[in-house]
Amino acid sequence: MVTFVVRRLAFMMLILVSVSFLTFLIVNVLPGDVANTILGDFATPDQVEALRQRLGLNQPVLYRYVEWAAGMVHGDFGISLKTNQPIGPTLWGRLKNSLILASLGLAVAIPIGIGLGVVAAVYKGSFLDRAITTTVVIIFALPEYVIGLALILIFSIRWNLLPASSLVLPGQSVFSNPLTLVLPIAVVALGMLAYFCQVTRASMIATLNSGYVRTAVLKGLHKRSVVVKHALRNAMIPTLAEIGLSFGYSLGGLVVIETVFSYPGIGQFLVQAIQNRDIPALQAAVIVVAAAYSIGNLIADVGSLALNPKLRV
Amino acid sequence: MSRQKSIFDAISRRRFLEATFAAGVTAAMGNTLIGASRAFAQAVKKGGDLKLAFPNAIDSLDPFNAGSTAGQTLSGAMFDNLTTFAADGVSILPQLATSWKPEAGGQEWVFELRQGVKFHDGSDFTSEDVVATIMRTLDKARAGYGFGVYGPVKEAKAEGTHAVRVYLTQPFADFPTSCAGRWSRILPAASVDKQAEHPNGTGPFKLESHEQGTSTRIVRNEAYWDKDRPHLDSISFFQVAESVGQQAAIRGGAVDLINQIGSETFLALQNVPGVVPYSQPSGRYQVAYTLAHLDPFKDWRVRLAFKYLIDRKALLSSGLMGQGVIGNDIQLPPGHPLLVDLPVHDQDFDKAKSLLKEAGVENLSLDCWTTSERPPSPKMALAIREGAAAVGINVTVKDIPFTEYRANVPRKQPLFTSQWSDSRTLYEQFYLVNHTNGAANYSTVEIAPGVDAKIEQLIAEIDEAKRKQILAELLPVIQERSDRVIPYFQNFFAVSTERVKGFNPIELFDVRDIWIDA
Repeated sequence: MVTFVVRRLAFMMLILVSVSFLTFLIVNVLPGDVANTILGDFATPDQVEALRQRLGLNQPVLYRYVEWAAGMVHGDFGISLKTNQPIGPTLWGRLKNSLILASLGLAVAIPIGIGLGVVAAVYKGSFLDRAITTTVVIIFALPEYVIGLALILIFSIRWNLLPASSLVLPGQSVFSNPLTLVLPIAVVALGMLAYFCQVTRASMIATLNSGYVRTAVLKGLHKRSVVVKHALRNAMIPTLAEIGLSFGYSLGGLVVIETVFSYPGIGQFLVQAIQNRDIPALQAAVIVVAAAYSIGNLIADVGSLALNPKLRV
Repeated sequence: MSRQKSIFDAISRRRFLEATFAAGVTAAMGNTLIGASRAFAQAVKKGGDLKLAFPNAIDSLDPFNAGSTAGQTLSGAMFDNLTTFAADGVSILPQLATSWKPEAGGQEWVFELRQGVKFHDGSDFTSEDVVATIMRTLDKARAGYGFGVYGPVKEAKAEGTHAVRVYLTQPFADFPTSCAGRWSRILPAASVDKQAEHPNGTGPFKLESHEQGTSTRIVRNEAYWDKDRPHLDSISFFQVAESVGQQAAIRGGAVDLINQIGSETFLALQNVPGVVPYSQPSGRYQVAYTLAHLDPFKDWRVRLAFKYLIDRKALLSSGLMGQGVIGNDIQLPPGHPLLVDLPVHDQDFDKAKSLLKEAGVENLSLDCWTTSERPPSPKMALAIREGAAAVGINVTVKDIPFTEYRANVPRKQPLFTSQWSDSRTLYEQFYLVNHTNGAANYSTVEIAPGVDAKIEQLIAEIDEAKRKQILAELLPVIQERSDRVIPYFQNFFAVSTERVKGFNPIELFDVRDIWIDA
């Protein structure tokens, strides 16, 4: 197990270096840079050139990458080209907020998604199964943007029950007004629970048809005991892997949700970095999201190993 | 090198400058205007926190690098200018300057500065701060958006602790007005380049806390020199980007005021009880550029032909849902006091065809570049395509992401859409965009012989009647020959709750005047 984790950690580092280098290259071949963004489209070409020189944008890409990477190794995320402020403190604050949103979304989505998946599998082919399956497919097919806007229209504008914007003052926690969290969490949770439900249902159906479950039934065990103690444990393995991946995905995928709800997370930070062509800020955010993705994946793998001893061989 | 014959040679030339600056304008009258602009002072209630939202984020705490309206409004709250605009948005009042006068025929301006003013860190405001600020706007690498905002300035020098002399490269009547602009805030000399990290102004509000890209809170500067203002205790700035989010935020009272909303948000909130929507004509306009130094627009007749392609009324109706004013290819909005009567540029395919024929243009095919991130300019591009097709020109609309547009389109493509904020001085309105040396003249050529000289005359002139005379000669030429099709001026939109008072619905309003009717 330890060897496995160490190997995976080494592999993760390799992935992060590759991701950072590719991001750096991609951003540099895109048209426009932060000098254009800072000065606007009315700036004269020589004005843009003067600023490019001051910001060091005329240095070779590789040189700038190595300089940035050397700082990263020492935990220095660098200085934002747009705001001239250190990136680290802002980024960590945003990451914390996104982790809260993603974790709470998962906390809601996991029990509901798995529960609905189990019910749909146990009552496979029934009206209940079809109702659950159809609903989650519709939710899964709808973009988060549409779900978010629909919830705002219904709960904020029509009924005026919940706030639509997570307006947080500097230094305040996102929990300072917990009601503002309800709608963004609902959107995160809806998307994920639909997915967990589908994965759990498929896995549970396969497990319920397996030989050892039939044996348990023939032994005369109670149906609940068969489902919960025998089938669910094994059926959870693919679901758990998906939950791990979803955690990383949800961090990167919060871009749309955070924009719709003005939520001060890493997704909103990413959008602003892209709009500003602020390469150091963008690099830092991408690395953090990639790391979250990798760590989520690692946790899922370790969890699968713990649940299924056969995988340890 | 022979000079081209001026298009204005037929018009008798006048000597304006002697008359212009003979009087030596001072701003002593400014003190009376301050009182006039406070008509609502009796009803004012002090205190309260204003929750102020923008669709854009505060992009920098440094006033010279604040590109967003949110950032510019914030800098206006934390910093002062030498002068400021009155509520009419045209006349100016003293702020950090108490009086000013032109010397040397308008090529120098002398400003007397307010005494006893302190920056937020407790240091004294002196003439060195004004000099350092103006000199930063002359340095391309350090100035940011502030580059050249004071006009044709050569240098600034202190005359004692509370007077400054500014040397210009040419006479410039609007210099005091240019001191009131969004990028003309006065910064402290000691940290003139460090405002992004530690903003330190003399303004009525001090920075309390700031989360980059999220929210900002400023609190009243108890040591502010103007004892009458501000009225609020504090202001919290937020970004609410989405229209639906904006509607929910104002309806639910999560914010008190949202500035610069879209037309769709305005229309959605028009009849909502408890909500006050604002739609006000402004000088902000969208434009289709036909760059005069690039083919096929090197011939002015082709540029003029494109001004006859658009059905402006239909475009205003579809693009802005009627919330704007039809433009006539002149950067002064209808109703501007200096505007003169001009022929109306309406859709006229016969005129366009005849102009193209005269210019010898046939089988023309070109791209019109635009970006959906600046709505509704893509609709303008489509209107041009439709009109062009009617006169035998094949226009392909290229709608690209804004960052790509910004890097590759302005100044580089012959035909593209763009937009301009409200400009206050004739220098911004004409010199910067129409003079060959104007920083924002994308065409980099004189659009007609003699136009440059006429613009120089215009910006040097201080007498309004004489300015009108110059404009009467200049505007028809600019309308006919310029590289800009201006089909409409956009209304300015904002929305507030009923408890917000003293709000002047313009793009850059002064937070000093706002109060809360709790």
